[in-house]
Amino acid sequence: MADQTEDRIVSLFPATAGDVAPPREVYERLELVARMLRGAPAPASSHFGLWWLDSDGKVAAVPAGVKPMVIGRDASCDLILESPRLSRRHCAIRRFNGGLAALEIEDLGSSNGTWVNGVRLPIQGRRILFDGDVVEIGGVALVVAVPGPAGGPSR
Amino acid sequence: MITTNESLLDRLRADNAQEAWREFFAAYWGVILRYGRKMGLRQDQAEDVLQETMVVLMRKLPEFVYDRRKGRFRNFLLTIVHRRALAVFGREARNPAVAWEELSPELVNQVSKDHRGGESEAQARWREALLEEALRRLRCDGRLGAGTLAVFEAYVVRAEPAIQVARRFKMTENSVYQIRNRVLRRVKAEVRRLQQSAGDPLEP
Repeated sequence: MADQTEDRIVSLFPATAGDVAPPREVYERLELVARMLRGAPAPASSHFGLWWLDSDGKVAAVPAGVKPMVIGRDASCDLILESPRLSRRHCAIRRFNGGLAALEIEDLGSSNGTWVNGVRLPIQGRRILFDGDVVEIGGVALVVAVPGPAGGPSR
Repeated sequence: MITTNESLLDRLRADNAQEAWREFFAAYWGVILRYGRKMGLRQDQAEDVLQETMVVLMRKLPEFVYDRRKGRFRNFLLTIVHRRALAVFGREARNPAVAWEELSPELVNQVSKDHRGGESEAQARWREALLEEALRRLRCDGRLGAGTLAVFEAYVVRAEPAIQVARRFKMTENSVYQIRNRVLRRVKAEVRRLQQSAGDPLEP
């Protein structure tokens, strides 16, 4: 076993050292996810939607359905967030209808953009969202929650 | 602070686990990224695998009862990583057949099952990812000097004759052999450290 391991080490060195870039901002997003999981209203394991921190610093949650949920500053929105950098109708989120356990987000022509994991969507662009993705709109960070099909992780 | 009897895995399941998660991430981000790249994923896709693997663990571990008799933790971890990598592949093709699945003993057995009497492909890929990450860490944190690495590369990687390497670096042949052995020991020790960070005993 020792000789095989050494042979393998020799065959790998140094071609692979340094060829994997450190993940950009992944850990910062994960810290936010962890905070949401710790403070999320029960049952966190079955929540299918969005988490964020409200003005009191508590974790708030909203479910996502098949019908698009419009997010913005305007009173007509399904989810109203108070941020001056949000557009009146900023973006819309709904469950993805394509055979994947996911959500889908669409930018509604926002001024300051809709960002997913640090990448800005094209204006009026769409993107699929998966568990733990972080949506940033108008300075507000929303964590995507997409548990398993059985309603959450099992033991 | 870790007690002598408390593994990182136990600390990950505790209420105040922020520091433990930081350690776990620091220990495994490179291995998971490499595993994704070895599966043929791009860097951004491999980062998706890393993120989603960590989120799954954050959801599952606090309630997870680790029964050593059901398998090693690293096989559970490998199963999660492997499934996420397959899922990311499936998304690219918008393949509805590749959907999220709950972790199950059957799935763990598939990843760890051996068809030929040796380790599975996934385990081999994981082992290589561990070795590569160990090498990267040794390079980056300066534990091995540039001169030591240069000697190792010349003798071991480029397979130059020991006497030639010794002359070039103005040392004895015996020193060249010692450097080879020292670097290999460090790599193996680093791999052991990675494995032990999750409370997993060493392989025999």
